[in-house]
Amino acid sequence: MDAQLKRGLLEVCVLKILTKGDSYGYQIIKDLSDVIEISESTLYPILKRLETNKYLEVYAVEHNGRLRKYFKITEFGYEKINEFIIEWESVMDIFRFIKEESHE
Amino acid sequence: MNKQEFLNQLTERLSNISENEQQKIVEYYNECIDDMLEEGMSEEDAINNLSSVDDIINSIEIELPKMKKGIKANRVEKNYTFKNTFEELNVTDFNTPIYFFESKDDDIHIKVFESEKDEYIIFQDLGEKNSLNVSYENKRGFFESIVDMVTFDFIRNKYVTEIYLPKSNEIKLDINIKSENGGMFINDLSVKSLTIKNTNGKIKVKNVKSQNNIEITNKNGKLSLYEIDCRDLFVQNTNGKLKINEINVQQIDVKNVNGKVEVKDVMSHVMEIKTVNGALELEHIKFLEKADFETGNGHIDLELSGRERDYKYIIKTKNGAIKFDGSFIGNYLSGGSGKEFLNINSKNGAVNVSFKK
Repeated sequence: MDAQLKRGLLEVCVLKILTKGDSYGYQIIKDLSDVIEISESTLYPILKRLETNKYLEVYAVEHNGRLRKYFKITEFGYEKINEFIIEWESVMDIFRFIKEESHE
Repeated sequence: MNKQEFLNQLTERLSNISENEQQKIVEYYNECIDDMLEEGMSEEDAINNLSSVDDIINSIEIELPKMKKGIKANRVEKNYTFKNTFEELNVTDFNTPIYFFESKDDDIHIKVFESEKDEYIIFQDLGEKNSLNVSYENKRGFFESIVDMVTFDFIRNKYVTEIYLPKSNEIKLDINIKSENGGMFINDLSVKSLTIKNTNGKIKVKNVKSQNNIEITNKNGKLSLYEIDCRDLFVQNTNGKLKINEINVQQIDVKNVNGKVEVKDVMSHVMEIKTVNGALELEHIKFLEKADFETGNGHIDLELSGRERDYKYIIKTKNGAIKFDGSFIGNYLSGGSGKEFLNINSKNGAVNVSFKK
């Protein structure tokens, strides 16, 4: 998959995971690995970008004597998911068109 | 390599970025390693599981600046002026809101924002009608467009399309507008006809007169119409709230799916307002011949001008109750001897009809 396209998709995937509850880095990677290939080093810049754009918020929670950073989706984050779905519908139309043609 | 060695190596390689950012990155990898250790992995396995320090440095150095830039094209303002001789104006736009304004002189002015990736083709067509065409052209390849779409680089752009029409010519114009992801704002126009097709964007139309019809098809966006005066008004709306205020028409036909419909101060000979999922709130309604109001899932609140005896009515609701002129009446009501015919049909919602002189 093209790197830039994947990055865009990963952003929405991370937001989607957070709609199911606040989560932290390692857990997000585990939850997403069934859907899309992701590593710690890919996730970090994505979390950073989502935070800069206010799609998510960060807070720390003490866990086993250390601090763990939790990520929480914001209203803007929810909005972004919705926008993605609406936008993607039109891409899917084109996709279906291309797939159908190539079968014939 | 153990955890501390790994983190030391990483810190060393991060020396050229700010301390604050350095600390954040190290904390992040420290936390990931701790989480893996907690799962029972050895320090060595955890480190092997992670990307190499080289890869991490690459992801930080390359991804961050690249993401910031994206493939966004910077658009610059361009102005076009035309003598006012047209009978038709066709506008097709994409990802950019369209605004209409009154021209300060006798010419038509068009202001658009263009770049090497975003062009507007503006030309006169002397075919059947003398028309002016304004059409956005996306010069991105298919793939580039998808990337843009996914990274949202050009949805939230700051650009607008502005169209300035001279008052003297408006009345001769048939205006057709098509837009995606931008929405439109149309104020104070007096035209021959107006047709709007819109997807994913807000539409606001205010103080617009049309000699002929106004037709609006809208998908995924709020639609508001205020102070409309035309022959027939056709509205088709999907997934968005619909607000219609101060309308004076021969016929109004509204079809809506998934969204509340609010209609206020409407005067029409014939009315038909139907929605599938959403309430109908109709206030200060006057019709002279016939009105049909229908909803699948949602209540209908109707306040009619005049008195009960002006109307003849059939009101049905399958799974709701009817309140008519102040009293509750089962789920079916027909009667009246007036000449204005009212037909209300609701599947799963209450119906409330009241009268106000």
